[in-house]
Amino acid sequence: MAKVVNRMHPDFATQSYVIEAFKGVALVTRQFARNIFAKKDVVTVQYPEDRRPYTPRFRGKHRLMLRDDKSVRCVACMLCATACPANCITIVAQQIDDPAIEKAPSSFDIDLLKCIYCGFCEEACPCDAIRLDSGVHTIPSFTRRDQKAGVINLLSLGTASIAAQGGEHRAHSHEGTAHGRSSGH
Amino acid sequence: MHLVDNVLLNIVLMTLIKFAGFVLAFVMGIATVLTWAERKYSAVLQNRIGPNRANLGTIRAGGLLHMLADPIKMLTKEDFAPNTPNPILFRLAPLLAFVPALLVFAVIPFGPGDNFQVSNTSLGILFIFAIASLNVYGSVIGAWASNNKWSLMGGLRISAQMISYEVAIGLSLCGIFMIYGSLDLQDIARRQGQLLLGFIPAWGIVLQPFAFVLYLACAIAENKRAPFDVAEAESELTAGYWTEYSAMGFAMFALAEFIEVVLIGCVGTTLFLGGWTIPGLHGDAWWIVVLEIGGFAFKTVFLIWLQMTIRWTLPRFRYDQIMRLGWRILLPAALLNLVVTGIVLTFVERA
Amino acid sequence: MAKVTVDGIEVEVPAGTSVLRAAKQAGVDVPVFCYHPGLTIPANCRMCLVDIEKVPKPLPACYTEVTDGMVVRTKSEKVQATQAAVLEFILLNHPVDCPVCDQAGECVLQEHYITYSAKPSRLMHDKVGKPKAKILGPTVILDAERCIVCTRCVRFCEEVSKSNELTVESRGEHSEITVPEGVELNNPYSLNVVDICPVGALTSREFRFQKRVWFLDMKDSVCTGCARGCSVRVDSHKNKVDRIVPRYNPDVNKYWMCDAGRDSLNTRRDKGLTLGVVPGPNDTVREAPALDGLRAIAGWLKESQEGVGIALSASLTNEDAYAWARLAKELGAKVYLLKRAGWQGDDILRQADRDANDAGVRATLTALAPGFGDAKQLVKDAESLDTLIVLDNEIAADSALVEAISDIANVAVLTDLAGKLSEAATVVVPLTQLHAREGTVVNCAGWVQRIAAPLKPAVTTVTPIAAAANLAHAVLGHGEHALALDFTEKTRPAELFDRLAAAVPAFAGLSYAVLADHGRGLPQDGVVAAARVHLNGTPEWEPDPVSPTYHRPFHLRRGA
Repeated sequence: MAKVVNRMHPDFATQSYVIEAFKGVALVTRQFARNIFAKKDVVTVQYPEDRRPYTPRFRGKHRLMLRDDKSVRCVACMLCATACPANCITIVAQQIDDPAIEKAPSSFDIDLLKCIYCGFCEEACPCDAIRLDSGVHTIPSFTRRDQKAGVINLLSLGTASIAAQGGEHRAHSHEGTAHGRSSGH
Repeated sequence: MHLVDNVLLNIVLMTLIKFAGFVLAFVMGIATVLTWAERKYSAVLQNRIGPNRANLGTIRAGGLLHMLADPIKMLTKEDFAPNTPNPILFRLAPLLAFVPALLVFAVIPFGPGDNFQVSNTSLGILFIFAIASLNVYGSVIGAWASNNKWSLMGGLRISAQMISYEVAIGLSLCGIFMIYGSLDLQDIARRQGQLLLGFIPAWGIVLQPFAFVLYLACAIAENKRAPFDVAEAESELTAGYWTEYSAMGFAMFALAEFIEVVLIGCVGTTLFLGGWTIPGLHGDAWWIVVLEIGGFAFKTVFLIWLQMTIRWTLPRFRYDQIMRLGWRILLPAALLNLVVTGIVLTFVERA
Repeated sequence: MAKVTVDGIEVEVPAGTSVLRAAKQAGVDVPVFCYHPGLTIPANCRMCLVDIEKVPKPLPACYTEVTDGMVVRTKSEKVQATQAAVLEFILLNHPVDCPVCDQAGECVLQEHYITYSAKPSRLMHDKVGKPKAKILGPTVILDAERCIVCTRCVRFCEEVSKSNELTVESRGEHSEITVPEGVELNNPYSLNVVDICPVGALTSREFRFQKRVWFLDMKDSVCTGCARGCSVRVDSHKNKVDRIVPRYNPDVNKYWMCDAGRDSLNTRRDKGLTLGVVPGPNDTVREAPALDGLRAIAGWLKESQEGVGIALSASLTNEDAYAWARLAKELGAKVYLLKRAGWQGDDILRQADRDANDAGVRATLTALAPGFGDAKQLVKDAESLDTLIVLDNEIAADSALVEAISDIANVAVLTDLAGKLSEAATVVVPLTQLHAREGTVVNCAGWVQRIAAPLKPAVTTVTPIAAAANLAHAVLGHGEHALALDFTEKTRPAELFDRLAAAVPAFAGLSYAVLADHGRGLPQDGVVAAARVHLNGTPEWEPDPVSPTYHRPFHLRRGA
């Protein structure tokens, strides 16, 4: 439904502007008095000393999550590289000995100069391995080469994840059963 | 010969002392405080904090030190000049704006008697009009010499604005001269010290309230301050006529504006708020003189506060609105005020 | 003939045709897992069950033969419920580890699940665990949990490679593909089981984890490993070939190709020459791009006193041979045809002759350079030559040949791989690598096919055609000899083949355009046989309905 805008039809006193101007002066003076005695309306953040807290959805530098045994959760499925609109993720996969996991990255490079911090990678990740929640801004650097966050960089930011889905560690046995694997398909 | 020397010396010395006491200490003092107060005041009423970072070690004094920091900054910054064919005019312009603003205070009566007025001429208010109007040349020449289209447009706007409002401001004050029958400011101030009907102070604002509103509007317009600041309209003209000025050139323009704020306060006080007089207080005792000077200062500060508040309250007029207001409303209104005053005066004198 | 109605569409097929093929002819897709047109039909996956009128239970479409007046429904409620049930059963113990599974993106199970079921599992118990990453042989690795026991691989080993390595062990949900003790899956065609596996159970050890298939750029090409010239698809990404898989061609290789053909990738990977060798001052040599080498060769050719020899490999494309034969004629050079060393052929696909285009080069030279010699002739003639240009390095360089060549004053080798001959040569010119060179080849049975070029050539290299044009320009100038040549450095094989077809009687009537897809046989008595490939109806036509072909649902690939 269209919104009805009520046009103002100011009377002569309003149109003469003088009274309205002094009303404005009164209003401003009231606000001045209010702020000079109690600063509750002041919204300024004193930046270097005080910082605005990041929202929970802030997307900063990437980190790779770890399993409980400190191995990287990533299984090099490349879904993040597939979803990435900036084409900035380069993963080299390798086979690892644990047959329950099979696949792990041997290198996980993100070109932070290309990255647009859209968060598609963490949304695409089936293992909750990559997150942008480190709260760290990209660090400025003098050369382009320094901007590349390799697997070491990402690992150093990682902490044990509480997420349960995907790539969970289990002892392997032929007769054993697959715990924790999603039975939905 | 000796006598002449003595008299001359006396006059020159006294003038210098009075100039230093009133103009440099009083006017420049207030103007300097205004550089900080304007920003702090606007910040507080806009729910901000305002300048508070300048410090001496741990002393910040609520940002008061910005008054010291700003001149130091202005003096030490690079004085950039654009590629202009008129470099001399470019350098001259800030002086042309600054000097007349200070000169006007020569005739302002800060207190009773010649001792509190740098120079008592019977011309009084006409001197103010004459000198204050020179102020615009500084801005226009600066705008022209900046070799910048935004500056030039700002300069054009100032000159148009100045011409439009100079007429109205002159006419608005004519009523005052008719009532008090004098152009001498000392005289006008003294006559405002009388009482009407025994209890109402015979101030200009009481006798000519309409003229006061007209005066305030025109004066602010002549000073190019909001809501009449189309000459430097940031949203349209970058910074208008002072776009190309930096360091001390800019500082002198800005200071001239603040001095004019004080000037409007002083003239307004003298003509409409009774000048240095305090109703019901007469005499030559030293404490009365001190009170009277203090009263003058207080009234001036009040008018300065009023200008500041108006600036941070009202949005900027459009250029055509300013022209229409000047020519089609303020000028006829001033004329009407003049006619009514004349008629009333005629009847009062007959009676 | 029998008239069959499939989903309301009436088709006429020969008696004895399966319902599945009748449906295909009617344009109706019936989902299958275990059925493969190149193998026998076990009908064990039950995915192709269809509803046939007057039959109470659904019947497997792959195995049921049509009868006259049969009415088949493939989309009825009964069929849909059956298909969903079969998929639920197959997926019961499937690990659904698609993110780490190499088959994801070209997985028949994924596609059928999305198309015919898309329902969640109702399994409340643990899945049956089976061996993962079990090595079956030097080339293939098995993930038994993903296996749906369609037995395509087992049948392949029994029926095609006839090596019988694979078998099914245990019963019911514990069934798994395995090799008997002491045996490993090690036949020359072992990697075909990876191609026909509808799921990610059998994967190539070489390709495993290298690339997600949706990144791959797929181009139809021809294997140049031997004279069979199998139709293949070359999958590449970021200017690097990742795998070669067979492509259905009823006239050449059916559905298969040998492991050695795929391995040709490894013999060339990261070994392609980008810089050649030219002599520097004071008996030194320096590395140089192709144009420097060609300049040196042109200098020799201009000063040649005794004789010039041009030795062509039988692995060159027809267009390369054409260009060099024309150049040889204008230069007055003698032409020799050199062969690669052969290997052990078999009666499935592999040919003892390893030259991909022996028939084609021979036909071209017969027409354009009659009286060309072979390697023995070259050894004999060596003393009378002062300049020899050899194209392609992979030739059988026995000691007699190397010795003979080392006697020749100026020897240049144009090649994309370093080898014995290039070590003996004074000038080496880097040729564009194999998968960046287009052209046509003729296989041992006279079948002409196109080679595709999915890769970008290195800028320092040169194609044989461009090399010939460059030398012609440098040596012959703008004279009448040069004008006689009908190609330049920019001429593409597509144009050159059409000129070749006009100049060489063996190719008369062919054009580059008609060679698309499956190629054509060499004309018999001047008549180009109609291709045996028809889109509908003929018995020859039966492409694998479920061959692993990735269908891009949306445009994923960015950049190269």
